[in-house]
Amino acid sequence: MLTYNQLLEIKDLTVDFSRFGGKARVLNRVNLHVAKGEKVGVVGETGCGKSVTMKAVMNLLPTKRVFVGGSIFYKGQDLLTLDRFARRQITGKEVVMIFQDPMTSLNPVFTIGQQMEDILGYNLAGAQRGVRLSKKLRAEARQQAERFLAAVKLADPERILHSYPFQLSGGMRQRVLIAMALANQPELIIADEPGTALDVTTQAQILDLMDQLVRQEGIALLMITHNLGVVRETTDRVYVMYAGTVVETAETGQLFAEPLHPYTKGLLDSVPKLHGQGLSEGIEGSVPDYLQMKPGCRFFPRCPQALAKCEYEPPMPRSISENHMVSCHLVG
Amino acid sequence: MNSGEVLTVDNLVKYFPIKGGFLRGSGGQVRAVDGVSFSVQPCQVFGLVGESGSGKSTIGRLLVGLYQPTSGSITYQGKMQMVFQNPGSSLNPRRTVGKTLELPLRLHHRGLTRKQCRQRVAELLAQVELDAEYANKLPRSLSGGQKQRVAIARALASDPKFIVLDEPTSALDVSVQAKIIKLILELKDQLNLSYLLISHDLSLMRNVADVTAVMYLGKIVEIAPTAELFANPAHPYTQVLLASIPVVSVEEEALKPTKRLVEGEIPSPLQIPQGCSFHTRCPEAMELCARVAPEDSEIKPGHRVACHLHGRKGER
Repeated sequence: MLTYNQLLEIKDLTVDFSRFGGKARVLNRVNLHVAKGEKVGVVGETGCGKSVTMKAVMNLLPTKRVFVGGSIFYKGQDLLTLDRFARRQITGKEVVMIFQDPMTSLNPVFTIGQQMEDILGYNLAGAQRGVRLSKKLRAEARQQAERFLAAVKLADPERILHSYPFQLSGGMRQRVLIAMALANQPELIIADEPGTALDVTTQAQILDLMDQLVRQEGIALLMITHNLGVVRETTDRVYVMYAGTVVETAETGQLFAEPLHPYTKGLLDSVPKLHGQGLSEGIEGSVPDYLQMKPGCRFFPRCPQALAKCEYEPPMPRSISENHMVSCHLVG
Repeated sequence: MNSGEVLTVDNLVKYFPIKGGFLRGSGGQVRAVDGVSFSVQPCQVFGLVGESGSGKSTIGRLLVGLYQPTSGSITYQGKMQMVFQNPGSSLNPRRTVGKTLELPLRLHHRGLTRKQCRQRVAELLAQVELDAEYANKLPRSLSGGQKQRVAIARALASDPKFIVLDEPTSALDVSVQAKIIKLILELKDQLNLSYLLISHDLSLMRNVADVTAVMYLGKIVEIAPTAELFANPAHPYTQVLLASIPVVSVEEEALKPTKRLVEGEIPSPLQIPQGCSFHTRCPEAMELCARVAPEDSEIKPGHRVACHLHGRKGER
């Protein structure tokens, strides 16, 4: 695969969890790609598989009773065929992840400085583990840490380096996580619900900061969130997921102006609007049980416009225009 | 108190003294609610918005008596109940839905026979659109939306006039949220209820509340009929809040004030800034703001703002 301009390309990714009650197909042939420097969003509600997709990319899924199929190409190389050492040179280094809750993803018993030095020192020591850093290298790591903290607009980086996570506010912790992600000079940042745990004014600051940084550094951003407003304001292209499948994908403006899949429509409709012309009805029912998935369209039981064939025949993704794909029997 | 109002809160104050931790003995206190006054009319939804740490949940808890106020008064008619944010932790996991609903029934309507009790439970479940068979289920077999319905039914069990809804839908997905909010509003009309709705979701507030109050560090900085507040936000903090909402359409974008970001985050309620508590982050702060706390002034009927930019002319 040399004809590549995609940074990340997920092809027919399938994940099965084996549980007491049988096998649950948690991801069903997910296709997704991110180009260099592109900002891509993945939206969906609880349990739609958006986090599982990212965990599959980052190799963070449990190894027991989990079966991963399909392929995940990074710069044309299938990550799923690499051994874990080779994979670690990519995920966690060139591809980094920022987690939702900044309190639980920082270690509470080490200072920010110690935690950042760990990452930076590892790189300075030539990516070898268990190497004791010389004084000189340690000073250099500290200097770099300060620079990265300044880059995420934290006032007084010196003080932050000596602080423990509990001494920082939620917004500051989120900034520290972004600084740590930047420390590896990644090409792709995967952000899981960034700023969701924060207040709106702080969330706006964080999103603004991320936007600036990825643009300056030419980093690609893959953002997963349930907040449609956030996706609309920060991404170039969106994937909408439902029950382990991508139901629709389009350029952000296009998707919000002309949603085609009934689920996308229902979801957009459910969001309370600022003009205050009343609330919608929401979507009937709830996400289906993954253990008893029917053969047809996964949205069929809740779909207000379902056809007879939707119950038995899963819809194939159809191309509406360039970059706009919908998986629905009603369309195309 | 006007005879018409279901709830009047007058100059409510709640300070939490610092008892433990390494600051104990410092004599410091958290000024969670610092002189709040408002009133709620019958069948009205009164909305309270603000960021975490603004004191909005403390007000809810003061109203239902979970906290005792430091000073000030709360006057209300009838009974008051509360629905909490997370139905997963507000329902007892070892108690069936039926038992959960029976408990307040037995407390508030002594002398109900077992049969009457069971019948009332079925009625309550029907009111929140759940089948009677749910009475035998445990919370773990319910979805988030269903759990919140049970929590609402439990609040209704004692026939309250007033319900405090503390972020009733923020733990739920949007498609479920719409359903729960619709139910809450229908119940209000059916049973002549009044609500205090606490939320950080401004778009939701716009669609649900009749009157909205914006809180910042224990004080109400602006209060107005909801449509008026969103159309003409007067306080710089309200403007910043509105400008920060991520919206889903171009039409809504036009309704937001021009984008402004504020520096920093809400200060700790342990160390509330002198003068106007927002002056440290305010894009329009003046020298006066750091010294003098602004008084409430009514700029339009029912629209009150606590900001020096809108003070009476002579006092500016």
